[in-house]
Amino acid sequence: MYAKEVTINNPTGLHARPATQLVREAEKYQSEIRIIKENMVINPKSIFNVLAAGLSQGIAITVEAEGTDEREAVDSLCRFIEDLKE
Amino acid sequence: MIGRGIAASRGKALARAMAAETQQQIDLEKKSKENLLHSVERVKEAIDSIAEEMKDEETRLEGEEEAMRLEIVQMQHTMLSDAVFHDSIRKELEEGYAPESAVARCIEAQCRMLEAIGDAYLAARTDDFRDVGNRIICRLLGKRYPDLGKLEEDVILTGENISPSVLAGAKKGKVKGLLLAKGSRTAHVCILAANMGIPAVVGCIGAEKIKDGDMVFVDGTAGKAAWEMDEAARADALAETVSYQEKQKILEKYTEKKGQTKDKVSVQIMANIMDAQAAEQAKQMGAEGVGLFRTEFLYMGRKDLPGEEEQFQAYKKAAEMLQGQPLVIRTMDIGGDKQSEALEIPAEENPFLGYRAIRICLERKELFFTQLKAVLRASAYGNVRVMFPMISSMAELEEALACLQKAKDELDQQRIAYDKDIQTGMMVEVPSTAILASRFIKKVDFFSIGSNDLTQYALAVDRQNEKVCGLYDYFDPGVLHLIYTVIRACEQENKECCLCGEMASDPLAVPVLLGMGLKKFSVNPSAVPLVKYLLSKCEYKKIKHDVQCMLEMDDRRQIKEEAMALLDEEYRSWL
Repeated sequence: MYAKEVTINNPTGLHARPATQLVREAEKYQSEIRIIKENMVINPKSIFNVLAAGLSQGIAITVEAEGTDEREAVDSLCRFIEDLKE
Repeated sequence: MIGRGIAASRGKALARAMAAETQQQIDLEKKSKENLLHSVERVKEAIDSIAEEMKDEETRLEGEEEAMRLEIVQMQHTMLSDAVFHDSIRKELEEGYAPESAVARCIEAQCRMLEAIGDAYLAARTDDFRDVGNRIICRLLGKRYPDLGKLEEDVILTGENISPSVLAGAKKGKVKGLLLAKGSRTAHVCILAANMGIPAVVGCIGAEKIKDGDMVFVDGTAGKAAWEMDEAARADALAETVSYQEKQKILEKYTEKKGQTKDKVSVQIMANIMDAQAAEQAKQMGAEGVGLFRTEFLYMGRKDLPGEEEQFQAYKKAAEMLQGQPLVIRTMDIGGDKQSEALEIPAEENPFLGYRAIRICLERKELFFTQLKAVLRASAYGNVRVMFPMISSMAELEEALACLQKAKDELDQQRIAYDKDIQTGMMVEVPSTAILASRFIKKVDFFSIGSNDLTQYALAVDRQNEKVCGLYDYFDPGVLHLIYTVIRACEQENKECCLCGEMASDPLAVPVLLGMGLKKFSVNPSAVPLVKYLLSKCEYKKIKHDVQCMLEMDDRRQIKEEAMALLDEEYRSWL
C-alpha cells in the first residue's frame, strides 16, 4: 500500500467540475484507491461519494491505494488536487 | 379531441406533439413482481443507452465550446458509470422495489446526503442528480425525455407541466407551441413562451395524455387545442393556422408605424422584456421603448446573486440598444410565483400576499442598493427610468425613494456619472395604492398599472388556483374603476400612466383602456404590432364616450358584451 497526504487549496473545493475530473482520473488506475478525510473513507471512483464527502478548501486528506499501479495512482491524484486553481 | 384551457400566449400552431414530462411522479414505495435479473438488466440497459447518448452530447458540446453545458453533461455522464450508484440501485431492486422506484430512491438518498452537508453549492447539485434520475426513469417507463437542444423537426410540447429551463434550452424556432395540463397564464414558463412568441395553452385537461408524435393544434389566442384529429379536423386546423399566418403578415406592416388611433391620437406602445437581449427584439417589433424590464430574471436560475457590475452591464446594454427610447427598469420582483434560489427565501403558505418584491428589498437593503446603483449607473447611457414594484403604503414608497436618494449620494461621493433627473415611478398593483392614486402620484414621476396583480388582489382570487381562476376577470367593474381612478389621477397631475399586464394586449380590453384615457401600453414584444393595429382601428373620441356608460354597469358579462358591440366585424376577427 502507498499513501500520501494533501491539502485542498482551491477556494471552491471539489465542486462539480473538479470532482468529475478527479473521478475520471481515478478510473484510469487498476488499484483500489481510497481518500481518507478524518474518519471518513471516500471512493474516488464514485462521483456520488466524492461530492457527498464535502471536500472543501483547507481540508487535509490522505490518498491511499493498493494494487499494481498504486504509486502512479496516488501521485497523480495528489498532483491533480494540489494543482486545482479556482 | 378538443381541449380548452387558458390562453397563455397568443398565436396558432399545428405540429406533432412531443410528450415532454420533466418531472416524473414516482411512488417510492412501489414494489414489483418482476424477476430480479430482468429488472437489473432493464435498469442497466437504460443507464447504458443514456450514457451512450451523453457521450455523443459531450463530443458535440466540446466542438461548440459550450463550457457550462459541457460541464453538466460530463458530470452527469460520470454519475451514470458510478459503481456506488449501480450497487445502491441493485440493493433496492433486491428489496423488491420496482425499477423506477429503485432509481428514484437512490437519487433521493443521494440528494438528502448532499443537502445535509450544508454547502449551498453542493446542495444545488441535487438538481443534476434528479435530472439524471428523471432521465433514467423516463427511459424505464418508455417516455421520451425532452432534450430540446437537438430538435430536428417542429414540435408542440405537451404534458402535465414543463420547467422553464427546458423551454429556454430549446433549439431556436423548433418549438411551435405549448399545450400543458397544469399552469397559469402568469407562470414563468408562459411568460417565457410569450416572450419567445410561442403560442401556448395551459390548464388544459387531457394534455398530459397526448401521445408523442400525434398531430396537435394549439390556439393560444382562444385557449383552444385539438388532438387525435380526423381528416376534416386536421384540414380545419391547417386552414386556421394559415389564416393566422396571413394575419401576421398584415401586422408586420404595423411594426414600422407610429402608435396612434384612427382619429390620430398618439398612443405609445412599449414592450415588456425579461433580459437585455430582448430590447433588440422589442425594437424590431416596433416598440417605442421598454415599459417594463423584469429584472428578477437576473436573480433566478442561479446559485449566487448578480453583483452591481453584472447588473450594470445588463441595464447598460439594454439602454444602449434602445438608442434613446425609454427603458423602465423595475427593481426585482422576486416572490409570488417567481423564486430565487440565491435569495434563499423559505416557501410560504401564501406567497402572493407574502415576502415579495419591495418588501424583500426594504429589509435586505444591501440587495436593493446594489441594484439601485447599477440602474443609476446605466442611466448615464440612455433614457433609463426606475420603478418600484408592489408598493402598498406611502411609508414603503417613501422608504424606497430614500434608498434611491442614498444610492445617488453614494455615486456622487464616488464621482460616478448617472442621470440626475432620472424619472422615478411605481407599480400600481396593490388596491390600496390605486384607491389613493391621487396622493401617490404626487411623490413619483409616473405610474405603471400591473393589471395582473391588481385584478387578483382586488377580487381576492388566486390566479394560480385552478378552482377559482375563473373568477379572475379584469372586466369586473370594481377592477375597471380602480384602473380608471389611477389613469385619471395621472391626468390631473399631468403625469404618465402605463399599463403593463396581460390586459394591455387583450384585443377586447384595448379599446376599453383607451376609452378610459390610457395612452401608454406595455406588452410582450410579439404583441406590439397587434396592439398598434388594433388601436389604429379605434376612434378615441367615440370610445371615450362609450366607455363612460360601460363603467356604470354592474355585470362583467354585460360589460364585455358592450365592449364587443363597440367593435366592427374586422376588429372582431382578431378576438
